Amino acid sequence: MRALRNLGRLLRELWAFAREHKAWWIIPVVVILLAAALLLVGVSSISPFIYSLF
Amino acid sequence: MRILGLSAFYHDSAAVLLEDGRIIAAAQEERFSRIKHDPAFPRRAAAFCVSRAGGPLDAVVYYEKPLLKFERILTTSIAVAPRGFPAFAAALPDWLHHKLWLPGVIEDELIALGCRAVPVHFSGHHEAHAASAFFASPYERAAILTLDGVGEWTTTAFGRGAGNQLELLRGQRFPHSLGLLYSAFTHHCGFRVNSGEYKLMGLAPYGEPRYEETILRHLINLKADGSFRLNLDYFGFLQGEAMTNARFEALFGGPRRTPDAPLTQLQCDLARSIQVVTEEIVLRLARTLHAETGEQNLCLAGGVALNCVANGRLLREGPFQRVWVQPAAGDAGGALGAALAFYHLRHGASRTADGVHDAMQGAFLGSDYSPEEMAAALTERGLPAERLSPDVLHARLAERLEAGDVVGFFQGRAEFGPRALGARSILADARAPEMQRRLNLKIKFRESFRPFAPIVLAEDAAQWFDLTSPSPYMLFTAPVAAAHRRPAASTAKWEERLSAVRSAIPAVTHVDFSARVQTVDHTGNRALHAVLSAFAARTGCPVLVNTSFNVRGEPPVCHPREAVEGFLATEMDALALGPFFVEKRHLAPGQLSSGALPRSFSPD
Repeated sequence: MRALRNLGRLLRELWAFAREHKAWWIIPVVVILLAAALLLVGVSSISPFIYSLF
Repeated sequence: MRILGLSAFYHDSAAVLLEDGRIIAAAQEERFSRIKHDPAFPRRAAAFCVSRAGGPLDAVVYYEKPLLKFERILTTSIAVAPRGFPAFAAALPDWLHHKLWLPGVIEDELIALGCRAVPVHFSGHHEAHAASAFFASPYERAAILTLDGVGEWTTTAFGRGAGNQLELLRGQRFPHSLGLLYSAFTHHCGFRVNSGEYKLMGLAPYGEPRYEETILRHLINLKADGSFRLNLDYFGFLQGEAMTNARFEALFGGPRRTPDAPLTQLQCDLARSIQVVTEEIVLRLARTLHAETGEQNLCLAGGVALNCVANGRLLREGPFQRVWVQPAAGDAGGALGAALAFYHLRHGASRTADGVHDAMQGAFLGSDYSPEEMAAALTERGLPAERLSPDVLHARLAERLEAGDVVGFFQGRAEFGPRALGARSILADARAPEMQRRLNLKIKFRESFRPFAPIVLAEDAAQWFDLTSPSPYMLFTAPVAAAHRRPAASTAKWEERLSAVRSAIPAVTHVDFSARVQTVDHTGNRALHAVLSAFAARTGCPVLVNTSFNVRGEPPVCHPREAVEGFLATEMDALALGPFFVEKRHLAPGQLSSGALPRSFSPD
């Protein structure tokens, strides 16, 4: 819940920043980087279970 | 209204508590964590500030805008891609895990401190520097100049302040930065960036400006108004690999000096050259700012404002009648500026300035300790100490200083900012010819060329130094007065010039007769003023050496326990710890070692 609140706050700030500075390009870049980070964290946390299966 | 200002995650993280516009507490994290220039979230400094609050916090203000900074990092990385990728990839996890989530991070930290969640606000980096310079200054109105490596995008800013208003007029943007240019030479001469710049400044008087023309011809395009563009062909910081590159090294006669290699005349000449160029840029910027604003007062902040040689020239040769420099001019002071900017600019609170007194309270804004805590620190080490009344203590200190002793002086609240101003200081007799060498090699364990700063009774300062205004924060250099100078050969090798006696106070007289003066008045630091007065009464000399109470690689001591450790680990002769006085000559050999572990001193 707390993570979702922080994510919502970051996205709101990102939107406000992009609008103020006319830097719309930063939104997809940050979103992709965050998604990649999330994926890496996810992969690293499930990989021990995958290894144990094989 | 209670505001907590924070700076963190770059270097010199700090916390400041502002209560109805008054600075209640301010401290750098390094003093508590014992990690020099600690960049971590200032958890312990914030805890200290919150412990001094008279009630719950109303707001927290962070000293820069993370998204704007991240935009700069992304833009720069894309511009130099693919070369900067390794540095970008190394920095990215910290951004993705912490810096982009700052409001949440700060909220969590506050809750851990037992505070309720309050709104988190952000100030611009140079807005924070400007606010720390102007709102804390004695002036009702002033021009403002901020200079540092880089904040979000800005590297230099012109501003103007009046009453409770402050306006940034224009600025210079990354990568064209005076701070980064100076840091490039710091790196090339083998010193640590963001730490060794003051060493380069201290080395400069040993050299000649042989490379000034080379710098101006190849490295920067300097305009008459002080603005400039760096020639990026010679720098590596855009790619994040190093400050300089192979072309820079080829231009200045070879690879960078490794930190352990001996210093040569080349580094002295490079230091002098970049110092001369820096001073020229600062003076041109000041003239332009003066012409544009018409103001008579100047407020300075940003890391470059700690260059007290440039500040001294600005005071003597610049167009402004008065100059005030924020004592915590680096990023630590950003925490103060962020809080002040929020209070006056966002909250709209009024401000009073009497033209004489600043808001810094002598910069004695850090932690203090009770006599019981000091006694406990001494007892832990088995050290017998006399408890003396202030008058007796000051007289005893003067007597030991006259005898040539080096004394640790731990009194009252710790300083905020990089300078020891007489709360966490080491004092010594400035008249002793061997004192500089002894302090450097036996007490501070640092390079022998490093100069020491004098403290002088404010009422006697004009007799000893060519100083045109008070310098309570040790932020201006001034020449030693001609009456106290002694002729010294200027053609000797730089190592030989070290040992020349150049004045009646050789321990604090640099090879060019300059000194980084701190004037001490009765109201600013009563205890230090009393010691100086007692020493002057005995010797006729109202000047002493004042250097920070630390050893190489460590921040100044904070807790009495660290003062006792420092006293035992070095060849200091005596320690004045609050009301307690300890002399090594009265200690038994067993008490001297006191079971202390052998100390190793890391490079600073």
